Amino acid sequence: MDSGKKSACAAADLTDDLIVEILSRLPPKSICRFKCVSWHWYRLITDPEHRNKIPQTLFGFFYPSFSLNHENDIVIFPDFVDVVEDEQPFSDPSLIFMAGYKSIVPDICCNGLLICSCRKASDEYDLVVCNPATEKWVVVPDSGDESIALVNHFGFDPSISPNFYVFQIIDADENYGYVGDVNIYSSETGAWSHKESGWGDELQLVDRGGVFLNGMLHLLTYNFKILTVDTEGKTWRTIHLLEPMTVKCIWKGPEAFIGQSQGRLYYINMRAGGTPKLSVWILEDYASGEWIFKYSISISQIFGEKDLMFERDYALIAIHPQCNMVFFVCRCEDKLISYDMDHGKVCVICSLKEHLCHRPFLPYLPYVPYLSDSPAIQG
Amino acid sequence: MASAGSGDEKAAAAAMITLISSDNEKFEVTEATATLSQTIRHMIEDGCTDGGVPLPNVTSKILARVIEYCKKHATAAAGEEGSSSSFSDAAFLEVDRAFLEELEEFDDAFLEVDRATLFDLILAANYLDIKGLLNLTCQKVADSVKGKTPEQIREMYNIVNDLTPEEEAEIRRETQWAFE
Repeated sequence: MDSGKKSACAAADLTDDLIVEILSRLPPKSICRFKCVSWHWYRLITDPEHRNKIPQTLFGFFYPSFSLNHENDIVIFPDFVDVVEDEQPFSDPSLIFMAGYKSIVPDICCNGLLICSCRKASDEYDLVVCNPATEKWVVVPDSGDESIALVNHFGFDPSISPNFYVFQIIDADENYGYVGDVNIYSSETGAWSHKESGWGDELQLVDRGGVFLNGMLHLLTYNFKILTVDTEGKTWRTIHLLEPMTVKCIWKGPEAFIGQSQGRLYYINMRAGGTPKLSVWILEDYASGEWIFKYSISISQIFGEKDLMFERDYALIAIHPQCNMVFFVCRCEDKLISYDMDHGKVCVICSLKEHLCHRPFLPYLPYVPYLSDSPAIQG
Repeated sequence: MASAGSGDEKAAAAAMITLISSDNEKFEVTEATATLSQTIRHMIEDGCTDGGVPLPNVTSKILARVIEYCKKHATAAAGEEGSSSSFSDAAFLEVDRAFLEELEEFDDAFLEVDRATLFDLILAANYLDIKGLLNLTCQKVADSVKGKTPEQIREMYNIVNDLTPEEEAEIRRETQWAFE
């Protein structure tokens, strides 16, 4: 490896850790190409130990795009808005490699895998997990549970396990919308298992308030609690929020958001009134459940002095998984906007293709590619 | 967050540390500047900096650059103290922004070096454990290789391609989307 000449400026002078450090800052497409540089680089890039470091780049967001087919039916396929400038992630973001579906709705994206609800020609639905980067996909079997499911959540973290998990949250009380038992699917066993809830009664989930972190699913409730469960349904926990974190809105309970960044759980809420602002807390000590208050962002700082209402005029769609940056979509201008919380910088990333005239806001799913073929997904 | 009083910090800032490069050149720096390096911070905490800190892995040319960076950023760190969670004060924000812009300009100018120097800076930042500098320099390299082909990378960094043509073809097949 050592060519002998110190002045020759070879990448070989750098240790593996430093090469990984550099690679981790590259767009996924570059990294993928650089597997061909040498055996050494190939091994560095594909080493499971480095997988949670490479690539770190948030590529953009999947979202459901509505259109009319030739029979004038509304059909939904994924589309993609990218935040990386110079590289186009896919030739076709609508995931048509999953052949045979009339409609594909992207539901949740987790560490590079996407779970979608796909409508077959027979109008039945498949739950499909796919890897958009490798174009591999697999159908998740039906849970066989006759009860009403409130929502499905999804977890995949290649730094912990090569397997993915689907969590089906059951309605405890026949349509009252309270959290009940949980069915958990593991791609390892290829089977569902029913787990009795260890959380307590009369808890209601906030829409899209799910985060998979540290091998646990985290769910935000209207009851100012975050519920967690592990992938085996053995460990159930309730993380309580601090008093100032519990902002109540008259109609819908907490206007809040949970997300993960840099391996920690973030909680963001919105306070209307005099000067609308976002407040950001981080779960500093995961084990003890200690929150720290981190940022306060006035909305006028981001959008200017306009009379804007949260969830009417703009929505917080994501937090960057690797830095203290949040993303908004703005209805009045159809724009995707980022806000760097450390430096107070606002950046308009792009105009959205989809007009945000209809309510509610579309889900925008942050996508960080996972480049290896997961054994859990055989195409 | 830390409970250490700012009085102590100020007293420490006045203390001077001597850094000794691999070619035996001595550099006098303030403790505030030196402690941007976690490696040196730990040495100071362990009380083993009397008579100077020998840095056998860093040449005087590179050490001078590293110190230049640390001096600038130590001032920045001092300015940020006690204000990390307050974004509400508009006046403060203006000052803060101007300063950050100046810092960014400094960083940009700082990175105007040849490839060999950049690599040496990365090695020094890693050895001295200076997070900001490591970030900055690695990002610079990343920006320069982004969008390049494997052939260009090999050429830029003198990397020998030890893949057989069959192996390379196989990897290319796996990663075809990245070449489109």
